[in-house]
Amino acid sequence: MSGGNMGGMSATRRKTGDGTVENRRRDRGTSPFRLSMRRLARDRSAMVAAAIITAFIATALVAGSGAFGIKAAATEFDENSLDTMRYLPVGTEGHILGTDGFGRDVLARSIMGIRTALYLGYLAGLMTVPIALLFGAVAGWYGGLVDDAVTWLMSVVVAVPGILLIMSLIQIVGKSFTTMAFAFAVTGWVGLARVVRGAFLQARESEYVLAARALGAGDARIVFRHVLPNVFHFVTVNFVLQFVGVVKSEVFLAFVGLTLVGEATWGSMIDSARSEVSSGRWQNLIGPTLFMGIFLMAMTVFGDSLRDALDPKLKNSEEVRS
Amino acid sequence: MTGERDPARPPGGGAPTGAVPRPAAPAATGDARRPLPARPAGLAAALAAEAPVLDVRNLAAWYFTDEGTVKAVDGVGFKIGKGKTLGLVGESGCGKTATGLAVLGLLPPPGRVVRGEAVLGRRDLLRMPEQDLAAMRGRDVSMIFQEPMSALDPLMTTGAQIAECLEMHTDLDRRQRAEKAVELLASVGVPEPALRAKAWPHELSGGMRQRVVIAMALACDPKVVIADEPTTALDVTVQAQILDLIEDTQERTGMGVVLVTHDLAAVAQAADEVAVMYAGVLVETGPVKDVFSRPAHPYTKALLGSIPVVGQADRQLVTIPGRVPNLARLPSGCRFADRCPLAEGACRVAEPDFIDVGAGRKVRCILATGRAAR
Amino acid sequence: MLHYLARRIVSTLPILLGVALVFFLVFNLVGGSERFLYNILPPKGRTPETINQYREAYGLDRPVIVQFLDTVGDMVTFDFGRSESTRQKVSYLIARYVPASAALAVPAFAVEIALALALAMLCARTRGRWPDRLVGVLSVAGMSLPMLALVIIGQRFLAFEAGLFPISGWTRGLGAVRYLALPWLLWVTVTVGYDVRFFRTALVEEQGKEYVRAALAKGMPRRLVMRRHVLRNALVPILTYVVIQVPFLLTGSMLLERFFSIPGIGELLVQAILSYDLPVMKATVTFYTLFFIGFSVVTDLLYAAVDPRVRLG
Repeated sequence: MSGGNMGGMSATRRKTGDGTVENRRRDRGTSPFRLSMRRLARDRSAMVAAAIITAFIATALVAGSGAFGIKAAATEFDENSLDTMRYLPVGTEGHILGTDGFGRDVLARSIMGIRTALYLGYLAGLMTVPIALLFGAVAGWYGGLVDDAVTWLMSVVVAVPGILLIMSLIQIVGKSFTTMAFAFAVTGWVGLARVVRGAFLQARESEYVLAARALGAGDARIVFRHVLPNVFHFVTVNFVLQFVGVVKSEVFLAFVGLTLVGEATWGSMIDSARSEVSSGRWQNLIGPTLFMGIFLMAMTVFGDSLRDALDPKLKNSEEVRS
Repeated sequence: MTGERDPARPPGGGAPTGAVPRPAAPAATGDARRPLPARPAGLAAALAAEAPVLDVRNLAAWYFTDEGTVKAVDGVGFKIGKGKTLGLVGESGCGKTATGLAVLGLLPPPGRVVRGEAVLGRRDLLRMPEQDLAAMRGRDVSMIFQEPMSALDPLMTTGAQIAECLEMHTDLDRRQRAEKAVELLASVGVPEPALRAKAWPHELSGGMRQRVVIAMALACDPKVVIADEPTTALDVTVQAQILDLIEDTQERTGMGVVLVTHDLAAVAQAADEVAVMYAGVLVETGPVKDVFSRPAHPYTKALLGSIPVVGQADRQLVTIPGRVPNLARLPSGCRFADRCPLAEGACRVAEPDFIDVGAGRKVRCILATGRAAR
Repeated sequence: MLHYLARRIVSTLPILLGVALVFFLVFNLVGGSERFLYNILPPKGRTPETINQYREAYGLDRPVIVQFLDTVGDMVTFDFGRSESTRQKVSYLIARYVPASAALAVPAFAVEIALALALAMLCARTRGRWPDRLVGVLSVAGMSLPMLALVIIGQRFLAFEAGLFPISGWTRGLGAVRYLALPWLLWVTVTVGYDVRFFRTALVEEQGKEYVRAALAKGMPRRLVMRRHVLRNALVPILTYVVIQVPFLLTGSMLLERFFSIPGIGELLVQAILSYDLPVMKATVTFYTLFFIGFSVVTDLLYAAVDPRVRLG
């Protein structure tokens, strides 16, 4: 009821009236995105995960700037005294996670490993999203022969085992993080592109797009106002999932000798632990496994919560009926 | 279990509730401000003596969601006599379906029954171990679902799905069950039942699927069937057929039916009693004819006013302003006050009681029952 | 059915053509062939003359389109010549290395899927309660830890310290089971987390459907409804997921074969890539592609078997 007849009411009544007005505001005035973010903020595990991710990123940035000598401790070693006696076990004072065969601090290297992981995962995502959006949008929007061509391309890329292409590209083009990220992007865009294609296909035939057309909206306006927002949450969730995948794949690449040797990456550290463990040296395994485990767990939990928050239908598939 | 089946059924047909003699209608029911005479005694006792097949009392079922507690059903009670039909009506989202699901113990999480009883054959369905309740579902109480397509498993033939109910509750062997399923299909008016029994749900028309769903619900002659919007998803022409089918079966087997619907015409056609639900509570109950001809609650009036009546083309179609309140944040007074054209200050102070106004009717409105009653 | 199979086989041709194109792009245009020539020659022999000689021998001097058609021809006839590093016929190598790979991957994959289904059913049944939560947490943990680290730890503790398994090695015949046991165990441990999470979602999604409620309303016990209705319906998304997992079989077999010295096709492939052994690479890529396509055809047949609404043809 309107506020007009609220004047001079008792406290109880005013409370009721306010409640109703507030209800309406909550129900109608909030954008779906802000509602999603509100849901996310209420999700405790998501917030813990976000805090962990933030802490990791902050640590990586601080370490990368050279502060506290972390970067130095991770990379510098005395070339004149290279001997295996430089291994210090986990728990050594001053080197809590020990040192590796070059006397480099494992904790510092694990921290620098965050940087590598972030760089690689972020770069791969940054390259994947435009490829996927472009192919998906073009195929879905124009249809016909264009769609056939893109669909063919997608089935080809899916048919070639991605890891082979990644390994081959790195081997041929050369080992660099950019090449690695590019290889991940070239092989990892199909899933997202299919979703985007579906959204555009649907949009092309949907009534709200027809309505927008009838009102004289151009293609660009329709795409940016009506279609892209619908795939936004797939892009975000895909980004997180791909990030996790890329970081894990780097370990595999290290195992087959295709990562950057000099750099502090979690993969190269775990790979060198392979031979060290048999002589009882665990530091290169413990450090990066711990860091990667916690970081990726936080990413996965956050990714799940993000998906649930952006698309609550997926979470409560048993919708509340009454 | 089988032993207590027959004793649980009330002896004899029992007088139809609709035929209970009722006092002359109050002269001015059109004016909701004039209270109906309250008559709490005699009749309630007479109704109770009739031994209902299903007696739901004070049922509350809440959904405990992240967004808060949604009180979908918040104190609902009704009785169904043998061979009788109760129409449970209300707008979508008022808790009708949740009421039905709660009685069967099939509320999806995060929904839970928080209080109340649903007595069927002297046993309370709501306080029964899952195993016992499963044994009663289908045999004593079953449900007809709203969407015939989604209520059928797409990967199983219709005959097999009907036979499953027989598998649970009878000693018939596989072949006998298949034969009985064909019989059941024939009894719900499915042409070429032997052929249809081997068909997949997607091969049937909507009306045919709903018949299959009904055959499934009636396979073991339940004492009570909760029909959740059984006609909503169907064409108008099929709707009447389905309602007739339910009525025919009812005459044959004497089952009680809870017809959950928002379709007042369906209630007028098929129900003996009506219970009007709004925002989780009943606002008015009584014999269909009385309630429809002289609605007491402003909400019932609004509902009745919002359907066009043939021959009264000039009558203005009344729409109800606003919408059902958020069940997670209910107002403190009458739940309908915000949309009620007659609401006044007192309506927003406290929730009105559900008052017996005689003639087997109850109303939850201080304007209709008179302030004196409070 | 036969008609469908014939159509499917025909429809794989454009995909194979595309795979050949990708392969050709990577190796002949991005620069793989030059690296390949450089690499197959001993350091002393890398004179312009010998390189040219080899370029001619491998037909890398011919027009690009001819080279491309050549690649397609190789793939269609499955004739890739001889390996650069061992000089053995590639088809012979493939045939020799496939059994070990199959012995590793097939049982491991089957156990992985079966175990994941069992766990996912447990989760779906105890949704929100502790068994569900516990499996959920373990799945996320399993997904987040690097596979290599788990394999190292597993080998160290279970084989080296506890002596339950041989550390690594291989033998022909049934005796190989001894060497495969630990890789199987590790495989299942590492992969099951992903599957459980997906399967659980699929099952929970089906559980919310109306026909499940209808089945319960008939008086069926929940376990039976789960087995007879929920599981069968969830099989459709689960099959789709299993197909998507097939390429990951390759990563798993490459890692485990290399780590435990199992002479499988994954190990062959890693060697080929690291030594620029072009013919072997071509052959293995083609082999995997065909395997993948074959697997999708089988899945389509399974869809049709599970779901009466799916019609082949």
